[in-house]
Amino acid sequence: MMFYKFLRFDFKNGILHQWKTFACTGVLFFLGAALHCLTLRVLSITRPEYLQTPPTVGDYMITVFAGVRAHAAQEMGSSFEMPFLWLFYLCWILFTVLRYPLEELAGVGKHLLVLSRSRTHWWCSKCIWVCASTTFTFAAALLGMALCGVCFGARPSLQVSGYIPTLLNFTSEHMAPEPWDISLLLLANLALLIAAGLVQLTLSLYIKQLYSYLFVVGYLLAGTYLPNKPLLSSYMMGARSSIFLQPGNDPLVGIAAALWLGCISVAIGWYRFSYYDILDVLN
Amino acid sequence: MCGLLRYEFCRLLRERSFRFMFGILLAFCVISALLPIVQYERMAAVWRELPHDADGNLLNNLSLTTYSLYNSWLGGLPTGVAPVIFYNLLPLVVAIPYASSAFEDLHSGYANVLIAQCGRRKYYLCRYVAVFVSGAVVILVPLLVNYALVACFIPARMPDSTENLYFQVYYDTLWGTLFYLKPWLYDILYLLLNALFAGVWATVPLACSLFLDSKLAITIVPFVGLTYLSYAAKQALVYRVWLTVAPVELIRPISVGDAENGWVLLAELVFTFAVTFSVVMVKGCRDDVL
Repeated sequence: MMFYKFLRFDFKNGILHQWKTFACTGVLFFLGAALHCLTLRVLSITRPEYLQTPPTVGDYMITVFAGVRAHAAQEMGSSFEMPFLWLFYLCWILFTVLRYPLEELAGVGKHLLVLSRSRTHWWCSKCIWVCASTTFTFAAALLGMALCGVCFGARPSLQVSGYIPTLLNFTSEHMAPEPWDISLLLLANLALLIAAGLVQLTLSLYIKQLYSYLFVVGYLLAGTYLPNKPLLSSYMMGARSSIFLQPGNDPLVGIAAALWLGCISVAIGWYRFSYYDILDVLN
Repeated sequence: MCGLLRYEFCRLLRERSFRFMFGILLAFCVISALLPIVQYERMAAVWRELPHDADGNLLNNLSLTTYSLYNSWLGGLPTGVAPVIFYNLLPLVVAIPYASSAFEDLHSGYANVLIAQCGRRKYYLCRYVAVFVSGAVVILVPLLVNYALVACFIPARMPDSTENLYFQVYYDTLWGTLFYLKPWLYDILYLLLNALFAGVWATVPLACSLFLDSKLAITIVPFVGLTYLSYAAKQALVYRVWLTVAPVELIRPISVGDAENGWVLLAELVFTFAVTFSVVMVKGCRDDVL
């Protein structure tokens, strides 16, 4: 019963009262996807054959989730270009789950913790909050992009059109056969974002919140350049996914890795929080 | 004014986050210098085994000019993950050392004590200068250490323009011609440019601290905003003008993507400086300290 009250408190303060963050996420991703329309307008003049079938909502979404192809940096004669929209998406969602837990602990959370006498309840509640908040922010981002697509006449489908790999510069000789459905990629993205949020939460018990954010973003950023499997951000990119490429990174492996990383983080964080000095939070 | 500025610099040196971030970046730059040095030493060991003429020159043409200081230091590295992390996280890293201390001063009331003693204009001007210097120093010194360390082990062989692929400096790169004539000057200019950008960008969180109510937000939101704008600007120009517009790509001494134009970077720097300076001086001086 007490755990339920903790959870209710976190949902009320960390999610319902943060509706502005979700709205802002929706608007930002709507605008981000709207820029794809500019490209489509140019394509309708320069490459009309690309747009014989109307674009799908999946086309708008993959502009964010594409990332950068593996070994892009090692190809002779081409320089490595940072996928800024993909980086923005990661940085924004990780930022939205950074503030609440420890700021709450520095304020009213301390009293709740003392009154409840259960650190485990507090920690589990915050972990669930990270999962829920990431899911809501991710859903707001998807909603923003889907709305943008629908507004500009896209078909409501998660299948990606054939011109996208060429447009986003990840076409290869070893493309998987069409249709390319990105629903599994979206699921892998959500799972890995939740795992990254949990790692960030655990790290913020050891180092300052800002440094934990810097560390997690740096780790994910390294994955854009290095296609190594331990850098889990590779599983978040459509341009490296087995949905488009054969062989590619299997989103199911990404989900399994996210589960593993999330569970390890929760366990380490739970151990750390059991003796964490709550009088010196945020210092 | 001088006294306040001296006080601000003393505070800066005592600031824990400044020292921590400085140490982290220094370690990062030293480690990223060690990797090309080790690689070069391995290559040099192989070269020693190869046949030489009477003057000690290698008989085989090994394109030695492609193994040079100018493409081995952190800024000049055309490959490797270190420069990608360093330059893309630079806007976040420079905001950490001192920019948030202004936020703490404003919210703890300490700023009011200083303002009462020396006046608003002087306080905000000194604060602006100190934050600018903190950003510039925290980037410039580690880069200089990296450059010096690499220079100790890898010769500064003159780059050859026919091998530009190994340097990724082309005719449309900013100061690209200078690189093949006076590469040391090119590197110095880029080091100064990096420091200038870092200094200017460090003042963005300072300006944000007058509007936002969270220390985390003033540090992270400008970085996230810059990433978003970099994409938006690139996308808005696509198929119209093939230019690099993202500042984090423009300040890299190698060419990343499209053609570079110095005026674009200058406009971005001037705009950022003008906005932050006017916000800090106008809003800061107008706000009621109570």
